[in-house]
Amino acid sequence: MSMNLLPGIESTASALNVEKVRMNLVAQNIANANTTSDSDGNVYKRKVISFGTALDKATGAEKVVINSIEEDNTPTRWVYNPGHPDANEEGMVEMPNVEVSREMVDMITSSRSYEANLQMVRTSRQIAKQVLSIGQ
Amino acid sequence: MLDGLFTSSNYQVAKKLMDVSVLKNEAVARNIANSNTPNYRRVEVDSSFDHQLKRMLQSGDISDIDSLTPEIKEDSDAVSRREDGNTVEIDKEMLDMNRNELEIQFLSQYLTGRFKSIKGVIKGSSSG
Repeated sequence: MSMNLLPGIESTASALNVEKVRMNLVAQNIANANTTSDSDGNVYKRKVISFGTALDKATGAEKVVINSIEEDNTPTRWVYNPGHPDANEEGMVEMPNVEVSREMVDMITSSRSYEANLQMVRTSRQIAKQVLSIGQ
Repeated sequence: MLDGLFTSSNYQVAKKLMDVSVLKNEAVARNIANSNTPNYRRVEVDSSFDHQLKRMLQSGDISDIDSLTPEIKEDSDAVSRREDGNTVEIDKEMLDMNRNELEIQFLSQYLTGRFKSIKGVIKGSSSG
């Protein structure tokens, strides 16, 4: 059993990690909002993260864990653009199923949550300092 | 009467409250960490602790204070107002976090004050 001066820090740390991954996915989705052909020649599919809570047996802490990162299977958009290199015979181009507005909402939710967790780190640290200064 | 410091009821209660505040901090940390986790239900320090402590203080007999063991448990009263079934309200958690921090600050200052006055007595100076 290691010394734990910051109660609950495992939960906070795991949340920071998950939010960071989520933010990365949002960035990836926005960056590829117009990618019609990825490395395999397919249209880019939006990536979605699913996360949940899990008990960490070693520390007894409840952590946030990533369950999966999957492709969103909602339909892609077809746009008429005959001059496009990836257009089919009818001149239609398959565009990713990324909606930038939805990604922006996810980004803000994620970054607010990240900030809240950072504030938690600061507070826990402040508490630890306060407790260590008892008697001084 | 030096041992009076460690057996006085104020010291005992302050010690217990400090334990509880640290536990509360852990509960808040969990809730904030899971503020976006679907179907997560918020946790809190069992409120029966507060009731028991209050009863002890009112009766004036705190000899059993060590038998009080606060625990983190699921808040069954919390209602989800969200689609994902999560019962965390982030503003409430942030307020709890701030209140907790101040509570701990208060308690540690109180304890420090007590220690300083004892130190002053030992040294024989009034400044501590």
